[in-house]
Amino acid sequence: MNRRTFLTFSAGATAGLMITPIPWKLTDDASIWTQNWQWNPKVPKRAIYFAEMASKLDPSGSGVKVAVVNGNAVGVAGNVDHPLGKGAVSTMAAAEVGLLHSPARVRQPMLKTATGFKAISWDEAETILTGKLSEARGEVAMVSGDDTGSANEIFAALVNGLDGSFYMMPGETQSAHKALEMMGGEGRIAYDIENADYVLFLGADALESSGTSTRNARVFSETHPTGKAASAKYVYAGPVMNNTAVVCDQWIQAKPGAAATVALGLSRILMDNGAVANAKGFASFKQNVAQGYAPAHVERETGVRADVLKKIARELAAAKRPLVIAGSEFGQGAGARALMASLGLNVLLGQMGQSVKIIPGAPAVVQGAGSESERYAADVIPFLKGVAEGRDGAKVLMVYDANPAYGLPQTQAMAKAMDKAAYTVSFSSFMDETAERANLIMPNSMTAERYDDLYTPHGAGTATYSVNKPLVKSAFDTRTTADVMLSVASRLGMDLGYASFKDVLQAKATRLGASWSSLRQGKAWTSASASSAQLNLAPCAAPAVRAIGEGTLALAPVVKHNIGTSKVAMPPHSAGSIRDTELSGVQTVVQMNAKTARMSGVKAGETVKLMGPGGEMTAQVYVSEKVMTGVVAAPLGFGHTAWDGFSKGVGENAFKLLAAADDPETGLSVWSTNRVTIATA
Amino acid sequence: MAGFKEFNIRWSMVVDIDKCTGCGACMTACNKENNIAPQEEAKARLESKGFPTRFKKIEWLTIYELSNGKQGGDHDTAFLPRPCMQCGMPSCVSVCPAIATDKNEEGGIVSQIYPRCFGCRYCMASCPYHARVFNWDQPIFPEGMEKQLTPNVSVRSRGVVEKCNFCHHRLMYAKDAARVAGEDPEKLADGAYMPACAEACPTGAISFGDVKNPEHEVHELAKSPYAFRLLERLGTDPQVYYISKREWVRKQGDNYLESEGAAAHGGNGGGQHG
Ligand code: SF4
Ligand code: SF4
Repeated sequence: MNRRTFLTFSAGATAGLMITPIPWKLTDDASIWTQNWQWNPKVPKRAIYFAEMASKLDPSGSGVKVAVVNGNAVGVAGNVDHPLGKGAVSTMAAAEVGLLHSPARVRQPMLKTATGFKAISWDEAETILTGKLSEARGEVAMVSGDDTGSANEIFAALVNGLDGSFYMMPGETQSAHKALEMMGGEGRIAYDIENADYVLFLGADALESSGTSTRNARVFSETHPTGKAASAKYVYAGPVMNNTAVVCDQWIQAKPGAAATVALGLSRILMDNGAVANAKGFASFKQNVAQGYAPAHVERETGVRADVLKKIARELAAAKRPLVIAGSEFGQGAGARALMASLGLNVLLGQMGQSVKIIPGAPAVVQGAGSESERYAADVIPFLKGVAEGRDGAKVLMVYDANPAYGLPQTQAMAKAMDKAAYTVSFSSFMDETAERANLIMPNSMTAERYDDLYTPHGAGTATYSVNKPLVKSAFDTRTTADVMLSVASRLGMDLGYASFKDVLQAKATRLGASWSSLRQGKAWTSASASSAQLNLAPCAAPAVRAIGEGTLALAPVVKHNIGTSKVAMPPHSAGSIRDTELSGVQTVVQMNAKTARMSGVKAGETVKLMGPGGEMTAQVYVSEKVMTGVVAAPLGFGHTAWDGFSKGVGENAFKLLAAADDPETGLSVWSTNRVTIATA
Repeated sequence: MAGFKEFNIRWSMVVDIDKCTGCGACMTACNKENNIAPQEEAKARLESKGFPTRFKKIEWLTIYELSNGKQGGDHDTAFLPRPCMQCGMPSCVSVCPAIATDKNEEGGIVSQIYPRCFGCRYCMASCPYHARVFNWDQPIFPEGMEKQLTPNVSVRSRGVVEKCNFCHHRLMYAKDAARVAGEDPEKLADGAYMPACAEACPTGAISFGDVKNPEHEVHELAKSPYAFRLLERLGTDPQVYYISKREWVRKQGDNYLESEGAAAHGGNGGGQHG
């Protein structure tokens, strides 16, 4: 290279340097790398696979698709083919993945010692439980909150084999079993909301927290197409403009727990106008309704204006396929009356076998488990109260898929029962209030990690059955409780007839006549069969349950699944969706309208004390016209003393305010009509 | 104001306010889909720092509660989910000194390139919809939760602004799927591309599609006499439309004077002045 060529070369190099993107690229890279902190988690670079699953955390049983990357569940997508999910992803279904690595998960079996919990092996845990159970024969009790699973059959068979007692957590499913039993029926109540042209929700928050809410919401959507005229009218009657009422075509203000009385008031108007039913017990129903429930009486009792009641009765009578769905505003505590009264009304409307059907319950496949309705027969509230007060002995108390120390009325007494029972075993996946009080925790795997099944939640349209298989490896050293209990049974020398829970599910599929291989792929089985048995209307007109407590205001607890359910605390990914009108800082916010606030002498933003028959809580006041006069609305789901940083110590638990009263006729406790007093704190 | 490109495709959301229950399923789905770190005691922590929550919470979709302000039986409430409007005239783009946000891809989605953003927050100040959020803190995923990150979106660092992008990765997936099926990726069928919020919503309040494509449902919906856009008179030309049969709701969509009626139809209206 001589001097000239060198000059040419260096000129070219300079020009090249000007043109080359390298310096710009380096500057850009510098800006990228200054923000590409090594401690930032890196996202995976693999393909996403989707696998079908029915959510057990979502009380509405919605089916979804779980997105799996590299063996980890990373997300939840809708499944349009699932009859209860219909393509939507509810907050609780999303929590199936959101909670998998929750800081609240119990990571291995734990034994309580004088200094706190210590980790033990599964073998040790099973040995301890087997020993305790064999010593406690005759004084074993188990509580289950799983309303749709066959795991209950294993538990019930084991407990029955030890002469113990088996309880289901209270809720809509128990209420439905009791209502049907009293009316001489058996099975499940199914609502054909898909074909209804007029839907009246009495109390039941059916688009958020009641029944098959995910499916109901999708049907609401189909009947209310965006930008077009609605093909069905939806009406909500209740004390609060909740998630259901806010989108319904009409909201009727009705006091908490008014569903039964409103249903009977409507029945009375219909019968006065000549409605008859060719049903057992009709004469006595008619007579009892005629003795009370005149529109003026109903207005006094429930706050529903007589003219509104008459108008609704006219609309119901004029509709082709009316449907009345009743329940507690917060999914529990209504006992059986609301359902019985609404079934009476549906019969009068000629909708039995049409909009409302009685469909078969799940067939039992485990010997000694008893029938479904037998398992729902006993009321857990008096039992737990008895344990707390030292009246009832429970040498071993086992709790599955439930958090009675948090999510029941008279919360303190329920929590005390956990302490008072000689030995408490929790199968919770999470360190919840009940697990924290347990002597032994044997953590269940989560839905995506275990075999499980889901049979027809309350209010589904037809019988449905889904089977889940493990889609991901267990995040921690947890096991499927049903399998654990099969193993414990065999250690106790009991033969429940199955070696694994999977075999139980397979037997169930066979009994139902469903294809195991398609169930295993996540496809739901459905059946159109319905019972034609006549219901007896005579018990439907029982007088309404009286108010509980002496307070000046009626209490309306409100459930929103993004805040949590009675079993599951707020899922981490929902934390941002909590509204200022539900939580202020870490203080629970209660709502009342301007008139109620004036009457009670409290102001917006003020901290107040609520005193109910079950206990007290402090809260901040938010003034909102979404609540009817004379009512204070309190969100359920806050005030956890266990769980994780997302929910522990956030707000107060409104369950504390509630007290349960017994209702000897139905044999189920009720707590949907509590009253509270309010005072500035 | 400098003009922005016109595109043949205009990805649009139509939110039926009359169908939104305020359940928050869309927000939960969005948070998970886009790897937004779950925020422990989010509200308490933020409020204790003295900032209004809306400036501190990391969320791409906010649900506002509207009230008609009446008492007793005349009272009415509505919920309004608010993602990024993907404005046709995005003020955020004009002000960004780093070209970290742009509107130059077919479909009209306003991008946000995290590694380019140096956190001046001019865009946040200029966005009339408060659609943008700033990472004041390093995102923290409780131990193990990082295993649940999706491959879709990188985790953003402290110091950058982020916002909704209509789940842009889903557009990429939809286009790939079309290519594999031998279809034209620029002519996606209605429903082939759907953001996570629209998919999740139990009551189907959120419709999504190409508002310029007559085969997509949103094409008609946006022309509904009940359709409107937020703060339409600012001239931002949002790609998000709202529908409500209730006049008071439509009226709250813009800064109307007492004497003015609500815009009957927002499809063309005040796009030019502002
Ligand atoms: S809504 Fe705000 S962030 Fe989104 S494009 Fe418009 S100005 Fe930009
Ligand atoms: S998921 Fe649907 S109904 Fe629920 S808040 Fe979002 S838009 Fe509203």
